[in-house]
Amino acid sequence: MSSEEALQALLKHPRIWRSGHASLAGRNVVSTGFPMLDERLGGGWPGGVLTELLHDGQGLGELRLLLPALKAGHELICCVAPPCIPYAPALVQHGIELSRLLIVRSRQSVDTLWAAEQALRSAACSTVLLWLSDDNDRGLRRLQLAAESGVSCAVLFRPARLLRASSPAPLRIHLVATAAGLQLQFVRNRYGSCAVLTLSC
Amino acid sequence: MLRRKPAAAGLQPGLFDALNTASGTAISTSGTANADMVCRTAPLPVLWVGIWLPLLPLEALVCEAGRPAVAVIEQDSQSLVYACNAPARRAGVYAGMGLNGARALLPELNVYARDTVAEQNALRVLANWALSFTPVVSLVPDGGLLLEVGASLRLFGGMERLRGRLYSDLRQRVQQAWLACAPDARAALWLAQAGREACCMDRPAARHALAQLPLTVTRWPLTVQRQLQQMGVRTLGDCIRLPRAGFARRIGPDYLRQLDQACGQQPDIRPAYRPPEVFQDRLECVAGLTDTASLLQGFASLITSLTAFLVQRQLHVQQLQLRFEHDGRAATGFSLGLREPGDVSVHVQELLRLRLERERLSAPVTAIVLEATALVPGVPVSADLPGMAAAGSVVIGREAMQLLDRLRTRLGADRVYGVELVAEHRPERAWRKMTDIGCSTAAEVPGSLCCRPRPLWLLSKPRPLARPQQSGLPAMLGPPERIESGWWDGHDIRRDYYTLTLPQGQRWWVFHDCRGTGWYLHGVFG
Repeated sequence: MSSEEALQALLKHPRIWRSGHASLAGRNVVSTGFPMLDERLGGGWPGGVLTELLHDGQGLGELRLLLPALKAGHELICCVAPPCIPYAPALVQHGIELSRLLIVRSRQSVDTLWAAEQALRSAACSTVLLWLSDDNDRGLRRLQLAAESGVSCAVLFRPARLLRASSPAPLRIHLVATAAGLQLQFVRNRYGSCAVLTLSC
Repeated sequence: MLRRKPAAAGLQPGLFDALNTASGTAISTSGTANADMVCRTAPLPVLWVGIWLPLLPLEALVCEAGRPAVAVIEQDSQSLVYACNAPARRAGVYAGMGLNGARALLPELNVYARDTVAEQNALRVLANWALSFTPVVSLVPDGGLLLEVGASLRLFGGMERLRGRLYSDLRQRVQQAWLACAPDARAALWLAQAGREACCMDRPAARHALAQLPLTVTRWPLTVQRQLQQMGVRTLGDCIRLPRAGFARRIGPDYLRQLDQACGQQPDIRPAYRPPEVFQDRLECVAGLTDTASLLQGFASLITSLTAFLVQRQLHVQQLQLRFEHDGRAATGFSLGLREPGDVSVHVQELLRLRLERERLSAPVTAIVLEATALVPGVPVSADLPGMAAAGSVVIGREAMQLLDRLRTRLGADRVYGVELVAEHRPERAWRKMTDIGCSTAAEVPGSLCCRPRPLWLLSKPRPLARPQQSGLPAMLGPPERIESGWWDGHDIRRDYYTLTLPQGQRWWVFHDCRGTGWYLHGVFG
């Protein structure tokens, strides 16, 4: 009996997860706008953790994947070190309020990580998007800790060559553009199965 | 390590002073010009608190605590002790004795020249503090303050309580302060100078207390005092009893007027102290500083006085100017922008730390200066209450402002921005950066723009493409969108835009320059 209790207590530890047993209670999620993906993620994009999207090249739908979630809320959307100009007319067309957008340019990845950490630790942002091209495990761990301190969604975009690099993110998705639509290959998914998902967005 | 030396504050004889003086002369019989002006309909009892700081000449200077020290003045080519601290007094040194005599008593005596400018600055700092008790504060040149507290008594719960607060506050600021109150300014000052701690609420009591004071409290010239002493006059009471006409003829009408002012028979017009309009404070570093930690420590004390200043004037600061002074080199510095109003102390220190970590100091710093350059009237900060955000509105609260300040301080103001729409057909000009976050207004957007496809990513500069026909790119999608505009400002464009889908599913926004022959990639659909 006592060993059973001890086991239950151990399983409740936040660092332990059991595949297929994602506990949805009390988790803070933002609906992705795609029912199939919501189901896979246990409700939507997880808040308070780092989500990593790996892809090569811009324009395969990585922003469209996030747009429905970005529309929700009234807090700031912080873009740190975007690779190109987030184009205001298109954002308005997609229903994003421009006054929520905060763009941060940085010269080096240290500054990118620092700015993202600041944004995550501040309660002002509902979503923090950041773009990194290098492998900085320690920096990402700090970022994950910063994400855990709040409820904002932290989305990290990295090139697909870092697929095998270590990462503290509990959700890692490799995005591949196909003729059928955007293919989501789950590298790691704490919230559901890792089967490939294709979305037409 | 650091010592405070407030630079001369930007004191301007403002309108307020002029008013005070003018009304003071108009109401010539009351003797309480300021209070009468403030409250004409229901006269409140006028009560002056005199504060005398016997050790101000030493406190204004940098002194080693606990060591006997004197401030000296030069008089008739002789050095005279002007003020001495407690250890020196215990050894028998007193104000007015020659420096040689003092040195004979105490060979290890620390001797400083009196610095009247520093005294005035120290006095102004105290006057700023005194303004939290009453709006009518007046400086007394040699180290005193006069506060008219008649109208403040009710707020502070009576004279006894007010005195208690004044004493406890003064104890944190100066080593020694003498306090007295009387219905007339000069009486309060003289009682304070005598160190009597008298509290006279009406004129007869004040007169009684004054009568026992020695002549020295008047600080009249020694020749005058000696003349009176030779006449057998020892106290102010003796002085007041002398025949008035004779006193005026033999001693001087000026001194008679001072006596009358003390007794409330003549008006005593005191210039009201007006706090500076701008904030500037300076801290000298005894040894040249190079490390960030010590500098931050220095700035912390400057920020404390800035906070007090802002609270007092009910102002918010939007920009701070920081200067480092070096030995024999031009001063360096930077400015710090603040978006977030309200309590600055903690926030500014954090911003400073960020900024100083970036700063490379070219030489050891000998003094630091903090200046508030952009001050705005304070607006009450509304707290972000849950549920306060109306649907559709964007709440840019304190958190966001602090985040902006932090990011801008480290990365630079131009690297942190918002965006807004511009009513313009040329794609690269249809948006612009905006320094203010959260208050973008919807621009008048040409109706045609709303339904045209626009990419989520725009390249900062169109990238030339090989001709699609030759490189085997797939066929164009849809009809072209002709954008032709800008002949009036020299950035004329004439382009045909197409949406291009690559085999992998990526969609590009490309254009054909109708003036040349080139094809360019201008955006991707994200």
